[in-house]
Amino acid sequence: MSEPARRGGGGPALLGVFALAAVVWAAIAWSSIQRDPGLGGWLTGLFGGGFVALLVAGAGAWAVMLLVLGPARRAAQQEQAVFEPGDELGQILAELEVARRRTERQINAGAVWRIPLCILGAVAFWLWTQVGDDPADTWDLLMFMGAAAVAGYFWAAWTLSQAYRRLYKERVLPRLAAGFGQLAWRPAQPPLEEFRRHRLFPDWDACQAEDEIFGDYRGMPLSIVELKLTKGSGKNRRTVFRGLTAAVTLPRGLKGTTVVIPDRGMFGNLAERLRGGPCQPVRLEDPTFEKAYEVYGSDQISARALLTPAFMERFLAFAAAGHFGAPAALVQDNRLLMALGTMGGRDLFEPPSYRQPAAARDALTQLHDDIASVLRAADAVIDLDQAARLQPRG
Amino acid sequence: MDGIVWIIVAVAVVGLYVWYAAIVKRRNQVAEALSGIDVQLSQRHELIPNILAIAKRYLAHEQTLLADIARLRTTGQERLGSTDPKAIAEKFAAENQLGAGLGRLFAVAEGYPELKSDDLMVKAQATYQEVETNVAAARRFYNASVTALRNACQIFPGQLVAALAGVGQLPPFFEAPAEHRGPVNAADHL
Repeated sequence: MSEPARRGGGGPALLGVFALAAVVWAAIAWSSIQRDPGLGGWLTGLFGGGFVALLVAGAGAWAVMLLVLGPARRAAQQEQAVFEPGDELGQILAELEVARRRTERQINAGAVWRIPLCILGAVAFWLWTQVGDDPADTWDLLMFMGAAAVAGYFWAAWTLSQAYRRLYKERVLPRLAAGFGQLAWRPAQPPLEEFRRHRLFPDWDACQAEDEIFGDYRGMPLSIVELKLTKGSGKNRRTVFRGLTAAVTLPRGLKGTTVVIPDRGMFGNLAERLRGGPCQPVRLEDPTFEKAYEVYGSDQISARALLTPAFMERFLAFAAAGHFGAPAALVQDNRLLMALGTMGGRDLFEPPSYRQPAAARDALTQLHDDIASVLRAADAVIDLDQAARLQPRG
Repeated sequence: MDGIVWIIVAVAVVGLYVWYAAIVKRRNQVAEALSGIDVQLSQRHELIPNILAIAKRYLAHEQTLLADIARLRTTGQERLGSTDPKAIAEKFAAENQLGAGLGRLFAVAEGYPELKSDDLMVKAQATYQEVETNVAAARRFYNASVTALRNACQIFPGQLVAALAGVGQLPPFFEAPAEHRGPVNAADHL
């Protein structure tokens, strides 16, 4: 690799930073002299502006070293390293590492002109305020410049980092999921219309669902989706549901639709019943279950064939175990879907940042553990049904 | 004064009508639940010849048990669709005997490893479990419907309104066999 390429364009970037610092110095000096044309204004402008310009130059040089020179040096070192792809995952990670470095270079190249451009915009805005009735002071300038630098970096990074994130998920998660059996990963396709039609969740207007683990598990078709539903916007936005939906096709002969939702209080339940629809209330014999849940079904017998006394006991025990909030269930023929709310927590299946190596052990371990944890939820759902429990574990 | 009397009369008439409508609705729900039981029992009856055919190949010494089950099936099948409370009670008794007979058959089959591991028998047993789960579900729906009807008919002035609604003798409960009545302990299943 040639020496200029190894420096990664650091020289022009440093020149740009020093030019920016000079512009800031000149702008502060001009502003100060405008306010006070006397000696005090000149001195404040020259020394105060000079101080701020030094700060800008120092921060800019640090940013150039971090964004341009550092990655270029690391890339040069890593290019010499020989990656021995031991297996399919190793090969995938090697390819992703190439994509990551390309992404990092592209982001840094974009940041080199986007950050100064945004800072210049901030300086221009600050200068514009100087001719008004309430001129912004020097600290405001620093604040504007800091915010502009951050905005410029995000401008450069957002689209590319999202593309890398998607690529990482599409390549690594299916392979990790396959390690747990006949499972794979795909972008989530939750049955939102079914959720809305059967009012599995309280009213919601926005959905966020990225990841789905699907395939055959313990001999049954399985689909697990990480789901977040919200209502409202801005400060009024509230989370209606956040957690997992785990759907399994049970080895049963169930018919029709059964919906089990947490009790929504006297008025909530009454409103639910007045809305009508194909499902009628199902009254069950277990008073504890009846108090905690509302059940609606299109087939009274099929609903009870699933909600046996043993199933209800296990359902209550599952809810009381405290790993998840009060679960809800939607059963359509043999397909049992459970909505398991999690208490806060982080997003699952998050790939490592483009700033981390693609084969970062911590990140891969975390992704592996995420899949293991959602499969534990699937185990719990499958074990609710006695008939399914008798199936051999895959 | 007259106005108050008329209001009281109107409220009483409306109240009685609502009660009458509730009884009719619950009576119809009992009929629906009874029909649901018959559907599930039919499925049980349809399965029995297959089970007996498989079992005969291995259970040469259990001919009495097999004959009993066949006889109970015939009796139960004759009573499907009956709506008279007495006939319904007899049907339920016969079905409980049939269920107990099938339970004995599967218990006996445990002692015959070849029969127990026969593919057809394994499938038949899984289907039987499913059918029995559905029979139990239908029984729970029916009993819940009968309870609701009995409450509406036996709480005053239900007795008066029930005659108007055409509800004479109240339908019997479908009692679960003794072995199905044990308490459920979730810890056993977790």
